[in-house]
Amino acid sequence: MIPPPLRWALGMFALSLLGGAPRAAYAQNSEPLAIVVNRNNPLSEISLADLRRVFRGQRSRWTNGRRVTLVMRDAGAPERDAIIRGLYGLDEAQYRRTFLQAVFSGEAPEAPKTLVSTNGVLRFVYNVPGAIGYVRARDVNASVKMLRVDGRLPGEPGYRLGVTAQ
Amino acid sequence: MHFRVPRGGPNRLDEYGTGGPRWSVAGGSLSCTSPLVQTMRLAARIATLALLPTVAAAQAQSDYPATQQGTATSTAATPGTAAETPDDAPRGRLLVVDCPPSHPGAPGAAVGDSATTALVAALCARAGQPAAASIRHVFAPLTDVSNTPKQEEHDEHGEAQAAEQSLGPQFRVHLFGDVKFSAIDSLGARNGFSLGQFDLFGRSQLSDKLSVLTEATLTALPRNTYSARLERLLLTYSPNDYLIASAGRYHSSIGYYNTAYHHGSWFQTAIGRPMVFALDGDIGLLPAHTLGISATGDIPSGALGLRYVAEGGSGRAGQSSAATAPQPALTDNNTPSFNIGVTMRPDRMDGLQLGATLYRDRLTLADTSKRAINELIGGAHALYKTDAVELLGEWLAIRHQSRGGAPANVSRGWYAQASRRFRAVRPYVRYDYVDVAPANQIFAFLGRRSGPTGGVRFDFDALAAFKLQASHLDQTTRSTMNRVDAQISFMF
Repeated sequence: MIPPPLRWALGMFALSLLGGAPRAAYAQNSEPLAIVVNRNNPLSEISLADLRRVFRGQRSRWTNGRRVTLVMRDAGAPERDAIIRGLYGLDEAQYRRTFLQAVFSGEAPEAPKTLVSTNGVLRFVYNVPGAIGYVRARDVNASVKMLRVDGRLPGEPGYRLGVTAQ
Repeated sequence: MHFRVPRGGPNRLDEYGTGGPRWSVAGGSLSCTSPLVQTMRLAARIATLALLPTVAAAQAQSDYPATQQGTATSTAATPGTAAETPDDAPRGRLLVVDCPPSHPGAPGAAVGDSATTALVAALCARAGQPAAASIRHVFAPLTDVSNTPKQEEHDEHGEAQAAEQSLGPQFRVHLFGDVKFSAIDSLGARNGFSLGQFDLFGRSQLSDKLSVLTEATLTALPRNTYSARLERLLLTYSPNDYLIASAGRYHSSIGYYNTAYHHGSWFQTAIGRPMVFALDGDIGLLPAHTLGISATGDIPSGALGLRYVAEGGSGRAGQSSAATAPQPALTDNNTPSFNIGVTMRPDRMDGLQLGATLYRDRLTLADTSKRAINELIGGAHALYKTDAVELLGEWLAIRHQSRGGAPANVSRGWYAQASRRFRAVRPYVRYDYVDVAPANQIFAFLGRRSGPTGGVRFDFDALAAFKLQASHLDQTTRSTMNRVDAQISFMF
């Protein structure tokens, strides 16, 4: 016999699922987004689950001991929206609140760096050994290292990070 | 080719700020408009050719590639000086001849070959300046700066390097506040506005592995008084993800809510905390704070996403703020408190978290005629949080046993909270339940309290929210209470 309050909570749970929660999904008509790290980072491949942890601030160190430095694009950039949807499963407002809360509770070491251009992201990742960021795959150059996500490179079948074509 | 002196004669040459007149060569040609130098035209034509080797040598020594420097050519004179050249006109190079000040002892510079020296000496002599002079190359603004780092890019790597190399740590501060209106139907209760907690949160990265976190609050009390408290002060050493060690005053990792939500009410979906997680100074049943050391980190567990936490501190009394009401019956002792916990965030279900904690302490009563109490607090939680859905559920049991041999008593508390976001609006419900055993020597006055809360949160700004909620509370030790609260909470 379930106590009445618990039944009420379960009922609310069922209601909350109506309509379905927004889920991160890779749009078919999208341009692949590459995850880039510093060339000295020993990592060359990462799972989507680990990538989520990194971008949520739940990973503070790389395997070489370097501190993880997150690089985000500025608010409004399609790349940022794609990452916030794809990795955090949130929208912009929720993302800000969630990350601030993570910093507030001490779970995340610090807020991400915000840069306003693709070149800026590439230069930052090039200059900061522990940096990780994202750019459109066509913008990746030799100054940074592109990570395989779940064993796939941008553009390969099954790759799940992309910017919806405008 | 024209020689020009700016209008107003030689005296106006000082407006260039060098202390002496300047002569310029635009497009490879010297320009000076004064009638005083008209006679120099012929000499300048010859000098142009003589200057070419000097210009070429200067180009070779420049840091700029030759393609960005323009080309030194002996082009035909064009009307107007470089300053008069329209922006969209092809840019040439300016060669500036600095005639040194006429006072004795002024430093001079070698000019170049003998022909150039002779020309410059003649020019300076015409301008009434000593013969010693120097030639500088002034490059016209470049139309193509694709190879030049932009300011933004300087900032991008400069900021990181500055942070690493800064002489002092960077202290980042966030402030939280809230204003509330309450209408309560209890006898003696007053309706009206009140300030919540003013919360100052700061964090500083001292070095690559060392950081400090601090949180202080100002809480409004009746009669326009405030209570200032240092809620958290924590020095953290984090060499890797498997060990994050801290020392100081922190929120005890009992259950989920106590460490996920601290004193900034803006973070919380509802207006207040669940009853079982009420803070010490309110009607706190749990030791919300601990002064001591803690360690947390990942447990290598693959897709299970396990984490551990272990804490050791001075317990409820003494240094802990729990020594304030409603636990005045406690006093210091030499027995530390311990807390361990495990949480799981499985990869396969993003947003799900399960966890369990176990806390142990020994409570020494202020009444020395009574024996100390062994306290054991067990908790379990399950939550599912996504962008839209929030489901929280926690259960705790508090076991007290007197060391004098009296039977143990167990108090229980739980809450369940659910919310669903519809754009900026998030309706929520929560049910609270706390049942303190009558035999409990410290918290028996709380009795059994339970009731639902329903409300809605409206995030009218990215950093501010309005919440409206209604609550009903059944209490065994007091009369039933209904209340409506409205709150504006924000961070800045």
